[in-house]
Amino acid sequence: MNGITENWINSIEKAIESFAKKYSFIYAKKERELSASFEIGCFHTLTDFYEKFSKLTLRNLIDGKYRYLTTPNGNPVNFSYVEGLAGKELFVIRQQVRIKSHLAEDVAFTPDIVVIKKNAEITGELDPDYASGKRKFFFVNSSDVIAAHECKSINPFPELLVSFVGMLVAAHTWLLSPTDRSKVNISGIHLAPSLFVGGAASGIHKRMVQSMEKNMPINIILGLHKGSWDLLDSSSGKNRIKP
Amino acid sequence: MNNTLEILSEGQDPAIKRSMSRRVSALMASVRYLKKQQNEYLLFMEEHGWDMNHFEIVFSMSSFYLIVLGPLASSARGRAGSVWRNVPITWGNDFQFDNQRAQQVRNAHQAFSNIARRIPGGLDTLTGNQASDIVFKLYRAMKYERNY
Repeated sequence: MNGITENWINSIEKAIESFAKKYSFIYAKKERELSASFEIGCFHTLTDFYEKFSKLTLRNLIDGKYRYLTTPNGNPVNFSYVEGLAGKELFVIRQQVRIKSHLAEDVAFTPDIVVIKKNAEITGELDPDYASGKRKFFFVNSSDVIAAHECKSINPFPELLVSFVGMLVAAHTWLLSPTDRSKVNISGIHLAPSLFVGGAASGIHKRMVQSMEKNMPINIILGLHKGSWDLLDSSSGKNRIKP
Repeated sequence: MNNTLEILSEGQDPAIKRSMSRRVSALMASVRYLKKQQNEYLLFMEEHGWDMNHFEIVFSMSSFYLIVLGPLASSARGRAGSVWRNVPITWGNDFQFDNQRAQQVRNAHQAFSNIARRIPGGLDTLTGNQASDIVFKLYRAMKYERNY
């Protein structure tokens, strides 16, 4: 190791040490808080997107605060949500609302963020196979889903990308097949079902993402840790839909 | 565990510590493989005085950024011009995402970005996915950017 590079190592280590002294109370968090942060970042990004075309209103605030539903176990009625109005179309953006799929009976799952029709009914049923029948099993029907979005604060890999296709198919009744792009519309007010990913891709994985976005009504939004938050950037070419 | 990783993972949740450590180990294994393969970008870095210690520092910072600071910073962007202006978000009984928290995270992010500038390619290098991406970004910055 030569002198210059040795100095480089020393200077970085010193800088990291003083950074840690000053900021570790900010960044030393529970795993749950980190994933919550990422999900909120994605949620903000989505509302930023909608604010360009719609009037958004935060509903059901509690003491002026937005009460975020963090698990599908909670009753969505008790939590805050975002209501949007674009032209005459009313829609709602919620988190952690379970979707009952049209694909087959008993197929239900919970995307991180879901955009549903304003009049969508959130049903709560007691089921002996769920929480021993003591708590209600809440869900919306997939026929009311405009777009289901998922957030992953990790680096992208092919299996992650492909698994999003499963969610796409199970969550959207308006979709005839995974490659049905009939609802994709350049002036659509809704962001197509999107997978938000923290890490960036390179080479062959980037090509895979481009191909999936070109052939399916979806977006795979990469590099969010790096700051690719503007979904309306003219170069981003994100798919929009008009269901 | 190397010094940088040790400092950055101090006080972290054990699961996060494990993830950071695992990522650094995996990246180090890959870079050793690249060395065996006589990877031209790695050779270039070595010709410029870089050894495994340098890569370990970069990988430690990369892991910290991707696993800890990047996700935290996601929720800390300015919200002044949006419907979220001055509306905190409460997440269960555990956390509140408000302006004060956002400002603190932004300060931490800024401070870390300043340190990252000392690495060829800066934050862009640190957000590389695999060891080969990171090594290539280091090489590219080292070769074509004046500062290094």
